[in-house]
Amino acid sequence: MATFQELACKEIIKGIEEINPDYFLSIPCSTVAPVIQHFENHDKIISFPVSREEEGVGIAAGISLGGKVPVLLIQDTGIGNSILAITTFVKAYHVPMLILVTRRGGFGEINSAVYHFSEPLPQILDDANVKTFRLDYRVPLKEWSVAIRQGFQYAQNTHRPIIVMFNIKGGAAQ
Amino acid sequence: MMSRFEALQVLYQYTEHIPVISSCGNTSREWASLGRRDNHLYMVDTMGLTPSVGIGLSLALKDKPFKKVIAIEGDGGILMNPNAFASAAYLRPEKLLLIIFDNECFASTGGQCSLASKIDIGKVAKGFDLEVIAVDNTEDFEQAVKESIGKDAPIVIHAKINQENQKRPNINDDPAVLSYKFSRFINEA
Ligand SMILES: Cc1ncc(C[n+]2csc(CCOP(=O)(O)OP(=O)(O)O)c2C)c(N)n1
Ligand SMILES: [Mg+2]
Repeated sequence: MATFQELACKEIIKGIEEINPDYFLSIPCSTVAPVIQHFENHDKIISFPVSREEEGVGIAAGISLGGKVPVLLIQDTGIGNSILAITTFVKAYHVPMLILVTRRGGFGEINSAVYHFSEPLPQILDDANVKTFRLDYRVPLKEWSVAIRQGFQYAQNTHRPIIVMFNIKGGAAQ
Repeated sequence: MMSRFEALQVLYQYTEHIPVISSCGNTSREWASLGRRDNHLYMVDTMGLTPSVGIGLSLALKDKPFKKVIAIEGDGGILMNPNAFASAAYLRPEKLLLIIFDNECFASTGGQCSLASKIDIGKVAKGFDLEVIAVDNTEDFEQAVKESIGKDAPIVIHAKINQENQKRPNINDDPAVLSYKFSRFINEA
């Protein structure tokens, strides 16, 4: 039987394909490896890795300002590497951008350091007024692709960065 | 050695129809003081991000009728985010022209010594396999700008400048307005 992670990755791929972006930028997180692999070999969407999340946010912002559609996929610790760019550029300059974020920390986390950032992150984003939607086991998987598509549309309609964050590890709410 | 303002005066003559993004601090202020243009996007913060935005923009505008997309950055900014060199090297956006004004200091904040006093930024860019034109006077700078605009390849102009920092009015506009004017220009082209 397919695992929760496999099913979640399929939904994420579906959501991104429905947006049909021009560019897919990413820094890998092991939980979404199949998603990145899928877009690396895509015939229509141009996919490339970035060296740091801040750099990815800057490039995606340039793509968006130029009238094309980027989607950025990073892990939540990457927000720590990019929050200045998200707030003082993307948000301040009203650049529409969907940022997909995988969740670390919480039950199932084996890393002994990342929780110091991952756990307070929702509060940090709230305080920074960066609108974030969180998907976890409470949202039926078939709704994930819908949420990703709507997150994209919301970013366009409200002219700002929108984060859609997913917890693929399952378990209790973080 | 030329000043940043003298170099900007030269650049201004060649950028009436070219998208230009300028970095925060006094660079954007001196640049704007030459005359605001909708095709020029003035960054008021996010030190170091200008080249990254320029890279994304040059990808998106690949098929638009602009010869180049220009990003202006300082030595402090590029050494804060040398990732932009890595991205330019990997993506090779053919419309990208990255101009680094290197005064070996943080001129905008009072001229404090920067790391560039011991690092050759041109060599760093070459290490990333980028084409670099090194200049330190207005004649060579003008030549480099003309040559780069005519080329289909990412180019870095490493421009050594003196530490002069002309006091110019703050750019205090709502960034949303700066962005709106710029996007409208891009979309109408
Ligand atoms: C993250 C961050 N740190 C510090 C500053 C303050 N700051 C504004 S401009 C500037 C100097 C930039 O130096 P450089 O890129 O060499 O440009 P120059 O002023 O010398 O032309 C600094 C440190 C800032 N805006 N953002
Ligand atoms: Mg400097």
